[in-house]
Amino acid sequence: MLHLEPGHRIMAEALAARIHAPPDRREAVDVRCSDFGVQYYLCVPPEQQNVLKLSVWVRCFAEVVEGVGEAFFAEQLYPGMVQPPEPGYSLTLALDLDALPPEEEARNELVRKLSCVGRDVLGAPLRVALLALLGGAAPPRPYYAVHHREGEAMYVVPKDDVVIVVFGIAFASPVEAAIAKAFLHEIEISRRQSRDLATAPTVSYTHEPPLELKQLDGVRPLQGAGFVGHVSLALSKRNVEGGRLEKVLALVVGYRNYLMFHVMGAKSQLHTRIRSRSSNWLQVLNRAMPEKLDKEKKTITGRTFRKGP
Amino acid sequence: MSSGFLRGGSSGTIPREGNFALKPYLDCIRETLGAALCVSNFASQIVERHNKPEVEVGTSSELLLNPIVIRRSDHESVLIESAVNSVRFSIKARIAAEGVARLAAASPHPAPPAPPLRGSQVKQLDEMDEILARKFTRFLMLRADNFIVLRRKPVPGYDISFLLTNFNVEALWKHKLIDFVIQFMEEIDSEISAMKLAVNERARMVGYQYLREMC
Repeated sequence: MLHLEPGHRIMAEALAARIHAPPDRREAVDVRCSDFGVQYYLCVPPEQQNVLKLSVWVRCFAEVVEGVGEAFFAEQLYPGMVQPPEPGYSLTLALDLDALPPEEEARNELVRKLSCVGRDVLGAPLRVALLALLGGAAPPRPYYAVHHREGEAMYVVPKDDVVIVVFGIAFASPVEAAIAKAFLHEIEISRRQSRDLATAPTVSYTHEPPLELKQLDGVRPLQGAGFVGHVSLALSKRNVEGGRLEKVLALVVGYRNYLMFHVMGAKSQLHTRIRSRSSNWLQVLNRAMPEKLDKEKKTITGRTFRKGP
Repeated sequence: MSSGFLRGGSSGTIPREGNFALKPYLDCIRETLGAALCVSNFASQIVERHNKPEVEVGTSSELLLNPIVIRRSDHESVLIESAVNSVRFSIKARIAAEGVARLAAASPHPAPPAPPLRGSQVKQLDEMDEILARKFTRFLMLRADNFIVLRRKPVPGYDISFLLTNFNVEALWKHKLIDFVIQFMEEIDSEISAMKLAVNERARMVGYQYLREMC
C-alpha cells in the first residue's frame, strides 16, 4: 500500500459490473462518491438501462478547459462520449452499453480509463504538455495553472526539453503542515543522495515560488496560514518515453494525494506510539499502589488463609 | 530510605543513551521531590470541613513553602511548589513558549535544515519537536483521570503539571510515585526524539519510493 491507485476503486467496481454484464442482466445504479477533491457520480437510470452516465466534479474545471480547450475532452480524450454536464457536475460522459466492443480486454481498458476520469481531468494540461514534449513540438502555452484545492495549485510549465510541474502545497492543521514539511525535505534529500535515482525527475522544495514561476506573469503567489511550500518536479523526455506516459501522469497528478496519504499515515503512527507509551506510564503509576495485605484470602477448599505471623 | 532502593523501581527499564546526560538533573529532581513530599493531612483554615490542596487554593500564605525551580537549560526546567498538604510539580520540556508563538505566526522563513540522524545529543527546538511534545502532553492531560496525579492543565509557562496531595502519598508508595515522575521525564524526551526520527525515516522512504517509480 505504498502507492495509491490511479483511479477510484468504487467507481471501477461499479463500472466493471455494468460494462461486463450481459444485456439481459443489467441493473440500474446510482452511486456518488468522492476522493481527494474530486466527486464522481455514476448513473444508469432504470427506465433506460443501456445508457451509463458518469459525471465528475472538480474545483477548477473552467481553468482546465480554458487551458486545454473544449475539444481536448470531446475529441481526444473521450471521443463521442462527452455530454452536456449534469447539474452540479463539471463533465458528464455517456456510454451506450449496447454498443460496447465485444472483447474482454477492450472492455477492461474502458473500465480502467473511465475510473481514472478524475486524474485525467486534473492532469489534462500536463498530458498536453507531455505529449508536446514527446512529439518534439513547441510548448503550446507558457504555463497552465490548476487550482485543484483551496489555497493550493499545480502549475505546469512546459519548456523546450523539459516539463516543470510545481505544486503549491498547504495543510490546514499545523501538525500536518509540520509533517508534510519533513516529507518534502526528505524527498529532495533522497533525490540528491541516492545514486539509483539518477534518472528520476529533479525535485526541489522551496518556500518561495521557484524561478520558473517567478518569471511568469499572472501567477498569484500562494499564501495562507498553513502554506507549506513549493515542490517542483522537472520531467524530461526520458521519464515519459517508452509508453510510460500514463504511469508518470498518474504519479505526478497524484503527488498531492500521495503526500496527504502518507502524512496521515505518519500521524496515525505517532498516535499509536503515544497511546502505547502512555499506557506504559499508567502501568508504572499503578505499580505505585500497594497491594492490600489485610484482605482475607481463601484457599480452594474454602479455608481462610492468613499471611504473616 | 536509601537511594539505591529508590532506584530499584525503574531498574527494569532498558538504560538509554540520553540518560547519562540527564542523570544529574533527574537525581536532583528526585531528591528535591522526595524532600518536598513530606505532606500531611491539613484541613482548610478558611472554610469549615473542607480539605483542599493548599497549593491550589492558595488562600493562606503561611501554609505555602518557597517554590523551587530546577533548571537544566533555558528550555528545560521543573518547578516544585509545595504546601502543607500538597505539592505541585510542573515540567517545562522542549516546547518553549516562544516556539508555540512562532508556530502560530506560521513562520515566513524557510524550514530549518533536516535534523542530523542518530547519535546527536543536541536538542533541536524545531517545529517538529514542539508539535510532538504538545501532542503528547495534550493526549496525557485529556486522560488525567486515569493518571491520578496528573493535572488537567499545566501551570502557566510550563508544559505539564502534576498535583501530588497527602492522600496520594498515603495511598501510593511514595518512592514509586517519585519513580513514576522521573521515568516519565526520562522517557518523554527519548520518545519524542524517536518519534521524530520515525517520521523522518518514513518521509525518506516515501520520497524514495515515489521517485523510484519514475526512473
